Amino acid sequence: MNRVLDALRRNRWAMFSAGLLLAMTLLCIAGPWLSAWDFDTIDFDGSWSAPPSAQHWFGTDSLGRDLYVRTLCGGRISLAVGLVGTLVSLLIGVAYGAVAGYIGGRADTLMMRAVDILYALPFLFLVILLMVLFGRHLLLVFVAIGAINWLDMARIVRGETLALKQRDFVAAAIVAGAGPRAIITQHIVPNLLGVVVVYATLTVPQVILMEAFLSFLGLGVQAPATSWGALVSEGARDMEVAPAALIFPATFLAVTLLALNLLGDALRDALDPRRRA
Amino acid sequence: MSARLLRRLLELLPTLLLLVTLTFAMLHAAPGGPFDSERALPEATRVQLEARYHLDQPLWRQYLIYLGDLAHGDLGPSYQYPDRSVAELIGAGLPVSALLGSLAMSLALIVGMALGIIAAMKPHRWQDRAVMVLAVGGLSIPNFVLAPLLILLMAVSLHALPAGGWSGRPQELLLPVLALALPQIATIARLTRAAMLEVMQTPWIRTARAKGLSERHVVLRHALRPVLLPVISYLGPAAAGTLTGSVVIEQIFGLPGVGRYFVLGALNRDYGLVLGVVLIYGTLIVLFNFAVDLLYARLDPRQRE
Amino acid sequence: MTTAPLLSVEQLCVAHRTPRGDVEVVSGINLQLEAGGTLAIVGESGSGKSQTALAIMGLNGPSACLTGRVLFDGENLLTASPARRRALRGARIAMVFQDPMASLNPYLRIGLQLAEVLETHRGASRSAAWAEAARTLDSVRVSAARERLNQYPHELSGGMRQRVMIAMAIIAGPQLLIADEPTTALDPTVQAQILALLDELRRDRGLAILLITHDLGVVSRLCEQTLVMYAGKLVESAPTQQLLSRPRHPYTAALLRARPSMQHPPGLRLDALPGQPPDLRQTMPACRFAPRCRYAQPDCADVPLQFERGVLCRHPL
Repeated sequence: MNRVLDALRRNRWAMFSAGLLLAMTLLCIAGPWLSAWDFDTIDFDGSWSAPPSAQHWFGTDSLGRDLYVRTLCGGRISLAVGLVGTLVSLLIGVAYGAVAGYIGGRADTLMMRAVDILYALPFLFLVILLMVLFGRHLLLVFVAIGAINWLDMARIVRGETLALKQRDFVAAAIVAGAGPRAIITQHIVPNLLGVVVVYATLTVPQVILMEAFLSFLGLGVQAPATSWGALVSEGARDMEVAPAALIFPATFLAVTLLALNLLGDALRDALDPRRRA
Repeated sequence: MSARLLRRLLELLPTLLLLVTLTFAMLHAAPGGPFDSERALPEATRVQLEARYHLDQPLWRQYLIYLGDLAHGDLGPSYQYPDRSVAELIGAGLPVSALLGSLAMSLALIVGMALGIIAAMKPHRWQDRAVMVLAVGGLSIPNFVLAPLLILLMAVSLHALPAGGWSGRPQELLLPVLALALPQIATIARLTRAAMLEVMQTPWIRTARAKGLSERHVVLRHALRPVLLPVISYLGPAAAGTLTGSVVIEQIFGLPGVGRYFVLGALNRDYGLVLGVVLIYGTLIVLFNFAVDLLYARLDPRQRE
Repeated sequence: MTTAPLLSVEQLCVAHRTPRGDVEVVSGINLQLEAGGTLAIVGESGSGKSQTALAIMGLNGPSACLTGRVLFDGENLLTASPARRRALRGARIAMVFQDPMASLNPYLRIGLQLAEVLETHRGASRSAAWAEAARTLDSVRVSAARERLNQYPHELSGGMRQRVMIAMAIIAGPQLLIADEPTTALDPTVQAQILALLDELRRDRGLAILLITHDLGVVSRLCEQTLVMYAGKLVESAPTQQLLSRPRHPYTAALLRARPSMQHPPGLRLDALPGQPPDLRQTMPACRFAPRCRYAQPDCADVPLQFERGVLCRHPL
């Protein structure tokens, strides 16, 4: 793990991305307090779809709401979905993969076959179906997105577990009388940490992207709450009059995804130097 | 080969059955029926409608009726457009969606592989860096963000291309195809570059060079086939991504494809239509994955039996 | 100056640029090989012997920087254009690599891999090239040559694959064959067959052979003349029989002692050479072998050496 951190510290892009993400998170959390406006308050004195000004730093949307506050509040939701969705997929994927890999044999074959079958399904369509059927709760967005992203994690964790199982410290634990449950939770999972962190970093942008996609279609976050996807959708609708309403949330979304992708790539390279090109 | 083909085809069945069962189960676990959403219907009309759509039958029989209908290619009625069947609606949108999707996939394959190979031939030079910047950028700009930006630039500012709509003219597809293909171009370029760099290190590429073959010959005949393999295994996810993406792209550009019906159906809670699209697209993706597997086996002699 | 040698390497240096500075892997090698002659380069892995062979082929890769001269038939290859080098590679200078499993393209049929050499260098038609491919396979004693053409490398045994590699090398009738550890990856019985085949090719076709190996047993069966390399330097050069019976460099002597033989008394331990070859990135003593040499004197480390009378040593045996 130290070696990974060292490699990361030498990678200028990774450090830049990490700093950018930290700044983005802080801005989204604290930024709205700096403005006098609220995310769903309409400014009846100012004009609708106004360009950026001293009053409204990013301008206003077509209803006259402050875009600076809305963009940052949307960011809170997008980032939260990214983190929670990833956490859900992580919990399911690590548990499933570690159990399949550790038990091995027929159970492993069966469990991985199930993953293969699920892989072939068009999950995002099923999530949309889920949204249509059960209503558009934010909680459902979290769970559904997390629940469809665990497959990759399960595969990777299973592969790592198969390798770890052969290592001496697992044999030593078995000899010492540890049960399967103790071995998985105390010996296998802690050693998976590096791989899991890397793939979790790469999962976060996927989850954010999915939420944005759903919200863009009007199926994710529901008004008055908003997210970057919903803001891009609103902005695209009247971009001819007010391009700022599209450009600001779009830039925030793209920059966050870019930083997460760069950081994830750098982490993967650091963990596995052989794969570095 | 034919026995293998048959076995693989049989392996498709559980996936398809799971898809059907999952959609059916979701439909019935949903709170409320399709007819009690907006305004209250007269009791007689409601009973009549439920009888027509078999909603009065026990669940297992509804499932069997549903399976039987599917086997006949009957996707059921659209609840929102009672005079048209789901199959008709999808049939009307499919040509446009198929054209958009296949064009985007072809563009992504050709451009993505070309960029990946160029980058790998000049590692760490400006060509490589330019491609990698494009690739990370392409992954980070979602197509529903790119599409409005393209419209803003090409249609609103430059008036070079139509902003949307569909009357059959090729220039109307240019921006949608581009917006849909870019994320795939990025991924394919990255995959190709990584595979190419790895292949060019192998001893058999050194052998090919030792034979005095030209660099073009070495790349095209000796390196391309193994580079194709990871790209081909990515085609399945790429197809799924393209179909998913086409939903928003059709929405943004006002193209009358399956995806637009899907979004309208989803927003109007038209269960029948949404279910039909999920089934059709799900089956398409499953079949596509199957074709990709076969192609993969054909390209790698060690996989053939 | 009666007849110029077929191959003459003069003061060849090969350096690789790496992120942690340049590494000189070959330092001033000289060698000569007559047409139809045989020459072996012997050394441990990392001694620079393979890099010397690749330098003659021009295949050291983009990070390599080459100086000195490599004269083939009087022409300096290091200053030749890339197109000219390609025209010579495979046609007049050919190479056989160590691992026949990895050195054949697993995705292409054997016939295609053989025939493309003729199509490239002679502009032969596809059918003519495939017919010649079958004949060449036959001449290196691959059984059922015609059927083999349609097979893929993984369908062949290791020995067969190496025969295919050799057929691929000689198909265009080259004058020089460079064989880099051609038998290392093979079973001992197959090794003997491959060596016999190489010897036969030399006799029948007048092929000059440059053999790269770490195995002195292989050398004694095939080559008249032997060079010994250590840490990028040439340390000894002598006719093979003389080198094996009366080594003059302590390193050569150490290699010979470390070799198991049939005359070796059972139970006696092999006299392995202690220590590791030097790290080429570090500054080395004047005699690079001195730290591992059992005959080293105090002056070995700092007095510069000259390659004299076939040996690079202040105190030859």
